[in-house]
Amino acid sequence: MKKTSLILLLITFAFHCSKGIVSNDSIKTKQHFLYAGIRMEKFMGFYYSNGAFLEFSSKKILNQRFNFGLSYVTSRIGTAFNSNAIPFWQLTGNVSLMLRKKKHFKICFRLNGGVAHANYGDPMFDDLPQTAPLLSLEPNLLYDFKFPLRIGTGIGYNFITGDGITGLGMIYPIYFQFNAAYRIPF
Amino acid sequence: MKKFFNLLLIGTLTLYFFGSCKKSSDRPPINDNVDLDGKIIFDSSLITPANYLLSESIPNPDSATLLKPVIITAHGYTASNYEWTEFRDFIKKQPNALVSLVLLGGHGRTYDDFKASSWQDWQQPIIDEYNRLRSKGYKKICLAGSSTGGTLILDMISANKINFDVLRRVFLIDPIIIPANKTLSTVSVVGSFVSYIEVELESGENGYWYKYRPEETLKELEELTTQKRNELESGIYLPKNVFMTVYKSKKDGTVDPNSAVLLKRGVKNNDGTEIDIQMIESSLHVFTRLHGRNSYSQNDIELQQKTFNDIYTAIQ
Repeated sequence: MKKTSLILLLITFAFHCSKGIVSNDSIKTKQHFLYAGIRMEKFMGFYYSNGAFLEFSSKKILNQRFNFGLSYVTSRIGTAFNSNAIPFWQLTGNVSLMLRKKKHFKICFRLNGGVAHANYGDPMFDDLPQTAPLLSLEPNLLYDFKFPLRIGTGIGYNFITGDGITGLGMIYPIYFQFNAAYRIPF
Repeated sequence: MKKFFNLLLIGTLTLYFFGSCKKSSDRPPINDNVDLDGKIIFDSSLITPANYLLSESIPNPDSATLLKPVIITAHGYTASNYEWTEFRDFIKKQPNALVSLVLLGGHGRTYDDFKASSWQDWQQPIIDEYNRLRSKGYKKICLAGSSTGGTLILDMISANKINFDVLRRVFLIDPIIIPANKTLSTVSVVGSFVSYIEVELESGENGYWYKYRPEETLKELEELTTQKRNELESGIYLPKNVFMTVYKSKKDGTVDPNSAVLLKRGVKNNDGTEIDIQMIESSLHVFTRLHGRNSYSQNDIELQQKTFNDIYTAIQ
């Protein structure tokens, strides 16, 4: 049953993606774009976290100068996968300023805000901070392929880090990220 | 857009220029008369080792002495034997225990000695003292480390650097796995621009702690903690008949309390059971050391004495 669901999901996804493989002329007629993909993060000197993100842009909103998105990454499918590392997740909303937006090779500055939460797995540590706000700035280099794929990478800086007393100790100042997304015009 | 790339290029070249400006002559303003980093003040154990090392104070132990539990202590990064002198004085008053205070390699000497040392150099004297006491015939040896000293002891166990046949118990006081200040993680980048970091010491700590932390030693500390964290993620099993207790101050501004979480998750007794973790209601880093602090409370004194008593009871 699980297998069937997965196959159906993949077919649906492929269908959506195939709809994205459109000629330039067709893209020009579309007003809105949704980017759905995977995101990998690694804190400098700390954990890997992986997850997914969604980003939306529209010709009707400042002619795609700004993108808006949501991302969720967790160490459960990163460093904490099958290990003793501390499971934690980060949920962020973001707004991105796009430069060179009409070129294949783009530059974007992304401002992220959100929340992080850790699960220590033992009531003994209940006194430690488990949730913390997130605020980061992330310059990105993006590349839009002719087919509906966008890849990007960048270095981010977290303005709020944690010392384990007043903030979540898992948030480190510098992180690297890689993302890949399918473009879905509509 | 050209402007943007030009600015980026200029910025990169400027950073590179300032980074390359760092010279080996970038020395901190050490006051030889006050600072441990200087060329006048050294850790006392270098002058009178017999007051600190058990292998020196009792070169030929008799059979009754060999049966007493021995505890070897290791201090933290930039500290000296001063960090454990209160414990030494406590143990000396007890009827059935001996203590040996080890000065970490590269510590208690000069800034240049410290700068040139690796974390393996810091660790070697602990291994040497353990091996000396073991070869003299001591039957029950315990290890106690504070802050980085605790992490070095953890490494001795996880990397099988000693023979465990006479090791009985291990006590870690605020061991560093995750630093509270996360900028340590950026030392490989920031270190290109900064030769050292100056630390503000409390007045009573002058002459007992290094005041200047060379970038090279911060990188060593980062390497040690990263390596241990990675090992904890995979899991560390203690040797048979060896038990570990971790004391972790809940509001320690130097070592992130999450270090205790990682130790709890990552270290298991030989039979797979959990190690003993004690979360301490304290805001002091290495709460077992009170001397040299500007102030401490009655509660701090009670916590210190309770911990000393607990350690003494546990090693019997």
